[in-house]
Amino acid sequence: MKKQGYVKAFICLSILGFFLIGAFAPAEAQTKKETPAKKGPIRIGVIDGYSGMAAVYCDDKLKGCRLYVDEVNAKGGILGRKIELIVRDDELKPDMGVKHLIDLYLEKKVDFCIGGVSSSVLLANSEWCKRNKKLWVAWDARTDKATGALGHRYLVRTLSDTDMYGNAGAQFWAKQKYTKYYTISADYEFGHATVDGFMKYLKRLKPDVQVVGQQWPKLGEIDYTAYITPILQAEPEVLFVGLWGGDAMTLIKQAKPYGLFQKIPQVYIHGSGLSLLAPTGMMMPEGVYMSTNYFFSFLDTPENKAFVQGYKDKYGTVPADYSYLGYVGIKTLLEGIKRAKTTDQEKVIDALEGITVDTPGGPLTTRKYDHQGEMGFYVAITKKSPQFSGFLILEKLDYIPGSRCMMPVEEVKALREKAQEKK
Amino acid sequence: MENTSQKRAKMTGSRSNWTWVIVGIAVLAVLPFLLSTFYLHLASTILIMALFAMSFNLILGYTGITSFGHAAFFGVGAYTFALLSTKTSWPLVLNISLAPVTGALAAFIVGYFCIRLHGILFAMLTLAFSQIFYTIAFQWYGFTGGDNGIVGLPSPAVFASDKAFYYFTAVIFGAGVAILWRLIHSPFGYALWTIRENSLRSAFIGVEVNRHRLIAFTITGAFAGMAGVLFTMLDHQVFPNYLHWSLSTEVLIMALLGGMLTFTGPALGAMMVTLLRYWISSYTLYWMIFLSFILLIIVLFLQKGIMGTIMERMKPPELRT
Amino acid sequence: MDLWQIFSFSWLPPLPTLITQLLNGVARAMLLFLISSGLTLILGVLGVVNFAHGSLYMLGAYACYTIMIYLGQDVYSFWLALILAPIVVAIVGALIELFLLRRVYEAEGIMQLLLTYALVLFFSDFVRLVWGPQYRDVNRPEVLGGAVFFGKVIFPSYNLFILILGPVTALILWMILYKTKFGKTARAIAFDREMASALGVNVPFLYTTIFMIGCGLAGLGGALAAPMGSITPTMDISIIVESFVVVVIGGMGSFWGAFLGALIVGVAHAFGILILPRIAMVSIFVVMAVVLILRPWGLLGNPLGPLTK
Repeated sequence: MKKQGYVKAFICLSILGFFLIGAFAPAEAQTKKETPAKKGPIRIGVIDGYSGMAAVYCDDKLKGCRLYVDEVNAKGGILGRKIELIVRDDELKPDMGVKHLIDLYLEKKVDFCIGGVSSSVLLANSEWCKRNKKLWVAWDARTDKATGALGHRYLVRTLSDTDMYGNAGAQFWAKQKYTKYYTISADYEFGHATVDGFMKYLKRLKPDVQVVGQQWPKLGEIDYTAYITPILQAEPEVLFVGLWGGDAMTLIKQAKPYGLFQKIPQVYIHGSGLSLLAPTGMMMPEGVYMSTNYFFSFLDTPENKAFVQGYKDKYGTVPADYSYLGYVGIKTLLEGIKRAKTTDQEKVIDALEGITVDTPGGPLTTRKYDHQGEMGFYVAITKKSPQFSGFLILEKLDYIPGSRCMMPVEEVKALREKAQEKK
Repeated sequence: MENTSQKRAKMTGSRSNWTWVIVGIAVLAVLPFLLSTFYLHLASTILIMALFAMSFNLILGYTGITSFGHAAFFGVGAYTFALLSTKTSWPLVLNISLAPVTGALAAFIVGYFCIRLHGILFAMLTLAFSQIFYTIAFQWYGFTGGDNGIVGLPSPAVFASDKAFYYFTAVIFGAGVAILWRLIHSPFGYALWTIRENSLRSAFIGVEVNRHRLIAFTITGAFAGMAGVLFTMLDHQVFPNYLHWSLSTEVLIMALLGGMLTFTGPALGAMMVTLLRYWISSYTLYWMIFLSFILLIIVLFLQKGIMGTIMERMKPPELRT
Repeated sequence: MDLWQIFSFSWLPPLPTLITQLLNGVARAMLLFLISSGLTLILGVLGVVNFAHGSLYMLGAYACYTIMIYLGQDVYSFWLALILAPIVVAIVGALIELFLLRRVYEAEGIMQLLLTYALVLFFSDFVRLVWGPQYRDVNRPEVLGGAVFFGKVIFPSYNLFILILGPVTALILWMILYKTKFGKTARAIAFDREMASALGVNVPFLYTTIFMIGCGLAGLGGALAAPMGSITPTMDISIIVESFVVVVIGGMGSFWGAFLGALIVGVAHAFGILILPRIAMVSIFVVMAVVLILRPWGLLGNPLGPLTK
């Protein structure tokens, strides 16, 4: 019996030992860093969903990000210091995202953190950043709440949110003559926000629009055939597809034998670009409407050409819309650091408010009030191209700049005040 | 082959526990001064999960019931606090105290329907109920905020600092462990143990099997709810994935890794799983493969769990199973 | 007035839609049945709850993909993949059974759960490591690429193929289980392992073979599912929960129970969408809970079966 007591004591002490090692090891690293801190690299933590459903998109973003970081480092870095990335996987779980954030900012003492794909992780990280007065740059994750009702100083988002691109899509479709809409979108908050954002503005601009039906398959559904039949039966003029990634691809594949694309000539896949076209390949029909922030062939500017060429040289393929998001996100952050001439959090945030950054997709401004990037949208249509045999490309139909689809500052103010009141 | 009283003695521990209970308290008390903010956050997480795992072991190791649905009670406690704090102006202390109550209530309702089943069927029904709870939290945006969760939850002012919250968690953990200890040493606890060994025989000696199982299940629901509200207060937020079955399997693994036939095993398991999960995922994106290897090692070589195997080795050869 | 109009009521969707939806549901059910039959077979004979069944299904899909890509997706590649992929998965199953599962038969049931869960984690990352996180896609064979038309009803040929293959496989399996000595021996083991062993049955050999067949069925399901939609590293999770629900509803270890359970789940899902669009996520668990509460041994299960003790 006594032996057992000793064993337990031993285990207790080894647990303590574990912790002490954990506590003191970083302390050593800290002292090493603090003396040559001025000359060391600028360290940026990247937290994104590298496992799980959005893994492909996050890989694309990281590729775009690394492309820019390599460009910058080749020119000597920012403020004479190179950029170093520390990449973590949040597994699309809010508590893991927050843990990595705390580790990176407080333990590893990185200068800034960027990333995010899941809206729930974004909200969790945003909350922590608000409390601890550290900056989070969101290059993805589209919930409009993040910069809207729950927005604050310590969050900057470069890409447009569900409200903005719903608005942009609605502006295009309000100009068309169709009135019978059917929506299909995944049954989770983002899926609903996508549809709501679009319908809210569409009905405002074109009141005679009717929604003849809605379908809400679960996220990750493998068999859409049961959803296709009611859609066909309702005979809508436009099918609004809020699905993304593998879900959108599966729907397209399964809808084709039903002749859906012939029966419903206007199928609109909202919010996906090359990241969907590339894996779908030649299975994608022509004449499908899509909307995206960026497409590599839409702009002839030297900046875009350099970006596309640089990406092709480094990775062997043309950049996808998500590669652009990664590139633009990190560029905005680094430009902010450059202009502030320091890595001090408050000064960089001040520099980021209202900043305009030159990107391959044109100049991108981050609005001062809500820190929301004024990223625009293209509505385009799929088309075969002799140059690319593996996938279809997009033909531009319309462009809605970010400033024209953002929620006015007064509305955002009102939302934030209402959210504050509730507390 | 050891007899039942020897097994029970091993599980309930010897009387010379007070010395290292004091050591344990001392260690917990002194930790905040040694650890950085991040590791303190991790320590709080470990204490919460250890409480969850040790209470879960009340039904797993001590009563022999496998449940796949405990994340639901964890989540119910978490959402109770979150919803009450954001939708009503009740005092926060009340909201916190209601979490174990609702956890117990949810466990009682679920347990009531499950109790006639055994083994894998029981586990499947708990999974079904747990997923129903999860779906409600996930889909009912108007009420629960859906998968965007509820962020920015208030905390009582006294817990504003990380250290204060850690001490609060440690105190609750200590109280929980003490309650579990007393339960296991009471006639109720001994009855659970006999049910685990042989439920048919225990029915014959007058133990009301199903009633005991239901009560034990409800108690674990209360603890799960408490763990849930603590977890929510840690990061000031709640999300539907707190109710997802992956959390149920995680707590099950913690109990098994540490050793489900020992009292403190699950706490050790909680610590190891949390640390491993975090450390592995800091170094590689393929943490699931590492975790699977660890699990395979347990299944093949360390079936009594780590603490269990150590305890087993400490016994003289004739007493080993 | 044509035939369709006679049978339609104003409050119901028109008859062609109903028929199409029924066919959709049954086709989905048949795919689900193939996978669940393997699960219930393993459960019935070995008494093992194989959480890794979804992972084996996913392996089958990726194996089909690799074989088809390697053969250049020509006319015969699909049929060859359909035969080879289940064999590959069956071999993997044999390895699992021989080297891992055997060591936990005598241990507490919880250890088997832990083992199969560890396999789920392993295969999940393994698939990501080998094939990457991108969604993969293979084409349906040309002969099955289009759709068939019965009047106003359109139904994809590939789904029709699955619809026919389901009952055919069911019949073949039934014949193996009930008409051959091998099958009868397997069922004997399911009923009472010790007795069967005492009567001279080579239980370990049969365990391995049955496990291989179960895994092969999962692999077949995966290979069939591959051209249906996209192949992703999260395929395992989406199928395993539904398979378990099917097995529970039908009765654990019951072969025809898996068939009936799959039909119920598939058809209920298809019609549920017409009536209550958002019901999909929760309804399946409600049905499972109701069955477990009212009739825990499932619709066609054995109340005195080994797993309901």
